Amino acid sequence: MDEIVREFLVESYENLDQLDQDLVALEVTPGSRELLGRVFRTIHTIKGTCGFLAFGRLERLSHAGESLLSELRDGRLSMDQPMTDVLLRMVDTVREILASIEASGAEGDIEVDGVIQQLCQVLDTPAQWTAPEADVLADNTELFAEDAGSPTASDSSIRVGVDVLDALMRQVGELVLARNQITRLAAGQLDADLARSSQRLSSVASELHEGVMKARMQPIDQLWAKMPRMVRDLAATCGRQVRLEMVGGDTALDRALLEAVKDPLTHLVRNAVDHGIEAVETRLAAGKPEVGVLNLRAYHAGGQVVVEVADDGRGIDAGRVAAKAVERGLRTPSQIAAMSVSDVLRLLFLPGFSMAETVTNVSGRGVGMDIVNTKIGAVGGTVEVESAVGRGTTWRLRVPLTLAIISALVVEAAGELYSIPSANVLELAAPDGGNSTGAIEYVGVAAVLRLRGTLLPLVELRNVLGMPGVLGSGSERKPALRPVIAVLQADTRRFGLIVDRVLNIQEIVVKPITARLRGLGAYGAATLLGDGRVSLILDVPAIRGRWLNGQSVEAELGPVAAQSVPLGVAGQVLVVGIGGGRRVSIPLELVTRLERLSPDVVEHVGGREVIQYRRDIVPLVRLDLLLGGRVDSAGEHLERSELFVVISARGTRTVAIAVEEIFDIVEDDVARHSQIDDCGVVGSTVLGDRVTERLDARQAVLTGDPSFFDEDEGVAADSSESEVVPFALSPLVA
Amino acid sequence: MSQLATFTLAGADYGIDLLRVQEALLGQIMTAVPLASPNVAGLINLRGEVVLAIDLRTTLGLGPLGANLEPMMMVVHAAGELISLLVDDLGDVIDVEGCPLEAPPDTLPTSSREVILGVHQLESSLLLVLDIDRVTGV
Repeated sequence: MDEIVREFLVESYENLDQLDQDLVALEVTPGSRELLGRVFRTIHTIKGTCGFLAFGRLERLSHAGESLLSELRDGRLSMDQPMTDVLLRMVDTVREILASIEASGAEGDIEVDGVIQQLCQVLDTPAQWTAPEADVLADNTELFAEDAGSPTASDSSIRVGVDVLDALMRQVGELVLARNQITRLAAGQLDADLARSSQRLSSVASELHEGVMKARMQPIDQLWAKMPRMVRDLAATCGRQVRLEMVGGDTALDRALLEAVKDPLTHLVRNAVDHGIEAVETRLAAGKPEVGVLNLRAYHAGGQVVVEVADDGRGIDAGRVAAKAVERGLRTPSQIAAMSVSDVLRLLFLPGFSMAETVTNVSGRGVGMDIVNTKIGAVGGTVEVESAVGRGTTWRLRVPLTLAIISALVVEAAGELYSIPSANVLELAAPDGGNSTGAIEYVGVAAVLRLRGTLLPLVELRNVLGMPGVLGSGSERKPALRPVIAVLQADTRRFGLIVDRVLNIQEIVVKPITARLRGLGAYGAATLLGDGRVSLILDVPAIRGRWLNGQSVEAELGPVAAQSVPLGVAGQVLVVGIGGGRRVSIPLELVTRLERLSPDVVEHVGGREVIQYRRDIVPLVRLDLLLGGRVDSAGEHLERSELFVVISARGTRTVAIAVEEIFDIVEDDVARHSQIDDCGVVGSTVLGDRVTERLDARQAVLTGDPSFFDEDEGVAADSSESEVVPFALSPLVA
Repeated sequence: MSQLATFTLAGADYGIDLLRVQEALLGQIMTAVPLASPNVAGLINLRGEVVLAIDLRTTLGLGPLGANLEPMMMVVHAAGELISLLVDDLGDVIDVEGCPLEAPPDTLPTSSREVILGVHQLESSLLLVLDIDRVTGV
């Protein structure tokens, strides 16, 4: 059956149930405008919809009903029992027709003329039905009194065409542009009156914008209202028991976005019921309650609307996803090996990717998740997925509040101005080129920013735009330059974008650009700045995808090597230098912070080196000494002007590992591991074309603090030799 | 195509279907689009709409316009959107009703042959007729 017809049926049935109750209630309180208004609207909606679906009988019937109801609503007639009877008969007949449509797709030959005639009779001979004049007046006064106390929904709202709202939104967009222009002009003037007027204009434009946006906002309940029925039907089809919970139905979003979220949401819900939640026997066998829970949540967060679809089903096995991706030739084993768990799960969004073993009529054709991703991406949103095997899966849709006007950071690169949606901007950093905090460092050829103890990969906007960067790289770096770094976030990943200059944050009107420019992978849309210039809006997720995924080494492997690659998921490692040209990788799980300290902080306690760190005394392990690389005396260390330290903390335990240099954070490349048992290392690998020793990090940490792992849950004090390891994902201990 | 809007590029006369032309413009501020193909001249603001500008000189393999000369623009309808074409100078609207469209001469470089529908022999000159869809479909 046609989707529209089905929707019409579902909607009408829901409304008719309400209608029965309302009509009966009307008999008791014949004057209630609220009830009359509601009844009228229901019939009116049915009439309108069946009009364009070409259900002639239904239309004639509801039209007759509507005529009577409009008289009642306007107080020209008053409700009484015969009238209720005939209206209820009408509702029954409407139901019959709907049932026929549902069964056969057509109205059938259900008799409507009799009811229509009765309706007309009641309408045409009001004297017979109308109460004496005085009573009507009394009714009316009563009615108005009631209204004054509590204005009903029908009185306080009006229907406005969507095109009117769209036109208003466009106009407001133009107004905001003109406002930006005036603001810019006024900024250069000394005229106090002009400044005041400009400010006033500015605030009025903002309020107007907000108002129009509000008018376009609709609660997500509009979509969710259809979910209980859908989940019920799906659960029955798939043989599942599902309880649907919905939180935050009043979360409002722009109607265009509501439309954009509709299909993805439907798909995710279908998917959760079909693939996520297990059959009853499976659930019971796994020790779960037999009824699965499907949770829909919506909320506003950071200028975005977040819609979550969470199930407590079987979860997604990243290993299986990876295997499937290899099997279908979407990724090579070496690519998989370099991916994190979340990256592997993102493979689900690849076109043609399906985890379903069998194709059902609900899902499994592999045309779903990429559409979800594309649709959400098209409105500037993102899709995230989190999953724990056996515990369930959470899909998270993030969409902007509105499409038309967004807040953006305007930056300059190579003489042109670009806009970055504020939703992607976390903060701005101006590296001082100086010491410990916020300095750009170079690891091999790649620049990173040390920001509050974490390493942030950096990308130059100039490079993104295909131009030579200002920083240069490696040895040709030009430390004299002080670029600004916009710390951006896309798909839960953070990175720093180096720009020449930051101008300001302003509200911009998003203007579409031709698809061929969007296809370049750097721009999402364009906007007009205060001076009328076009400025391209950067597509942050696309830039991140293009510039940061490939940063880890792309190993080119022969077929023999590729086959021996376990389809595990590799972790990230920190690559450090320990002098003598040796490079060592440390699993990132064990790296809490990186510090650059003065060598003076090293003290000696009972023959061991310690440092004072954050008011604690922390044992210091010198990696070069530990790995037997150098035979320098401790005295030589002190001559160095600074000390690079990897801090590893777990619970209350902290160990500092001193290294010579910190290079980079890369995805470990399991494919290139080779086993070399040597003092303190568990093998070697090739990262960034350099042979890198894989540190036995566990041993290294234990050298500093033998009880380091004791606080871990489930790890006994004597388990240092066992296979129970706290960083199980790391290939170091695989 | 009975009426053609004409313009010149590097001294030669070109024409496009008049019905596809929305308007002619002069001196627009252009925003460069890095990474785009070389014949994308940039983006302009056409009364609030962002419109792509295409440099016909690059498309046709002609050298750049002299440094001090400012190109004119012809805004045309193509594939449901507006596209601005950069030309050297605007010419008249010419009625070519009844005038036969001949195959482009073999001497034209391949790059321009692909976007040229044909040639009209006018009294004093040749008029090369451009295929708007080809020219704008970068």
